[in-house]
Amino acid sequence: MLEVKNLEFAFEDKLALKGINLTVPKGEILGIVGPNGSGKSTLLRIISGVLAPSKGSVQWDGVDLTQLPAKDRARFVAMVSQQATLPDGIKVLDLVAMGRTPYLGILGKESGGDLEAIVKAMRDTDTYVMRNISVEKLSGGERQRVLLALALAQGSSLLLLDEPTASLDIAYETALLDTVLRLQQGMDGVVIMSIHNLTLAAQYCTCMAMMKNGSVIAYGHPSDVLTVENIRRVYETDVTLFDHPVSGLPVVVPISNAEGRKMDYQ
Amino acid sequence: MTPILNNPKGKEDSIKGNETDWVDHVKAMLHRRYPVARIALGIIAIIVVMAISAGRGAIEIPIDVVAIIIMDKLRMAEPSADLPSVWETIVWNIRLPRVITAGIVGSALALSGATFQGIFRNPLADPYLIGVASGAGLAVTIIIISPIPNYLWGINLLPPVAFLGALLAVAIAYLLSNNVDPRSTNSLVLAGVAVTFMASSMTTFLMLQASPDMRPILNWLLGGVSQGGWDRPAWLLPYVLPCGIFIMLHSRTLNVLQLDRDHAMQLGINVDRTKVSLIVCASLATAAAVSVSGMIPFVGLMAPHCVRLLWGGDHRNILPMSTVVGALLLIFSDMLARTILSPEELPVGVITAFFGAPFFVLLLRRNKTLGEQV
Repeated sequence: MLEVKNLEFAFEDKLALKGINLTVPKGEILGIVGPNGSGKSTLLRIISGVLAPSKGSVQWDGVDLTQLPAKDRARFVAMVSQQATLPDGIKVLDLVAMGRTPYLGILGKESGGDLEAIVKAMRDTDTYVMRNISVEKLSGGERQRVLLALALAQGSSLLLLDEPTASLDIAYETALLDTVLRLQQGMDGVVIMSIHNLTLAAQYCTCMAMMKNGSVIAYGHPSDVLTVENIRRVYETDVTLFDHPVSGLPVVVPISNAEGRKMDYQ
Repeated sequence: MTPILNNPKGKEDSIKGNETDWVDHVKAMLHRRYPVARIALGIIAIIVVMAISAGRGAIEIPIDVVAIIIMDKLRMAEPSADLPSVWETIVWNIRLPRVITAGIVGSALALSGATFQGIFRNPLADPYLIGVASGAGLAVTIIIISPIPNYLWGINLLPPVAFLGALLAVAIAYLLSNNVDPRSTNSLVLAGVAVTFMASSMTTFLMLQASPDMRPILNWLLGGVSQGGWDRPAWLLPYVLPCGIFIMLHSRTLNVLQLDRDHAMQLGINVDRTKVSLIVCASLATAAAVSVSGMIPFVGLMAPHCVRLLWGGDHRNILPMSTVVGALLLIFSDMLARTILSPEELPVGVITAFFGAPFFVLLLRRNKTLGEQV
């Protein structure tokens, strides 16, 4: 179980995150939504250990991740960043193998367990076929899957995804999130992703947190979080909500404010 | 690219073999990343080039005689009586220590260069370009012209003092470039060039002011491995060997550091501590080399780049092979330095600069994207 307790983060005297409390049981996929600058990425970076919080703690099964040495923490939590820069010429296999960094000894030689974890991560993300390809030759969707494989190879039970579907087309988007969903079922951990597309978030996340100005405004089941009032309060825009014909989960449709296009969905 | 890559979902049935085969295959691929055979061949090449180089000079000695003299000294063969004893002295007491010193200095400079390039993610981060070497040079000059003795309690003071100068220089260059634009790869090189010029001008001033006869310092400064006997390698190794081992053990970490900072931290690497410890080691190795041989430019740039061009960007290969190529490069340059104008000798720094400068221009042309960032 992941517990974020009274988390605060100040940057240059400005409070970027204030009083964040989240409890996420194992088996959940938490979607963090909110406008740009609401603190989604900052929250993920603190949970991943890249930033130290000014106050509060991030606990995984009672262990405070913010107090762990980097190497130990990396065994609990892995992250796929939004804008990962990758060195030219590196092969997919070598990149995925870097996921084993927190487990390797001083000589850096992969053991049998490491190799199995690497192969499993590549199988689960369908990236084994690309093992010999340089990363700069991959398409956006393939690259994202390779980065996911790298995070999976870390073998951690807390997986963070920062805008995993940004800049992906609709086929890659669903393929990637289907992969995440499939992985989550066999992982016994928690997946947290920040995501802009509210409809997509509702279909894939089992719970959602809506953020604004560094605070969590609403937290719970997607149907409870995605209401017309919440969205107006956080995004200052009007939307209309439908129920998805199959899943029954909310589908968010924006209402255009342009003259002559104003439609009355009510 | 195979068409399968265009299918976002991939197709497992098109991949041959089961998961056990995959593990074996991945194991073979990953373990090939350690170039054991290549390093072994490189060491053999170094020994051969050393033997050839020990025979060349004002007095030419055949390579088989060189081999016999070395074997004899190592008590691996019977001494042969019919060799002139002066040859033995030349090979064993003069040329061999010199050739070995050249090898160690070349290795140290090349390994430091590869390390700086990896840490700063900058292909131009050579110990001479980022100010490390000239900082060490200035510190050594201060000691040489000052009344401070070079030896204290039997310890040679030059390497530790050079180390302090080197650290100071790299710290100044780093702070200057961070103030300008921490993300630009070239601001570090430009700041380093500024530090280099500053340190060189101070060195020149000190030399001129200290004594009218500046030939000893100038000789040292222009770079050479000719002086001293076996005490030179003995003076280098206690610094270069531990630093080299420490850096080599971080070759995989250096690969991970090529990712962005956040990513490396998420993979459990203490980025700042690792970078600082590697900078300290690379500076110490450079400083030891400078304190023995003066300024020998471009080895730290040329050797790692040859390795990169030949075998790619994996530091598990770059670090050991740069060490090998750096040794070969400087042994060879030193051989040229003492044979081109024989019996006169050129400073070896002149030779490496002669080859290095055009190489540097080639490198700039290759890195067109880098040039655009200036």
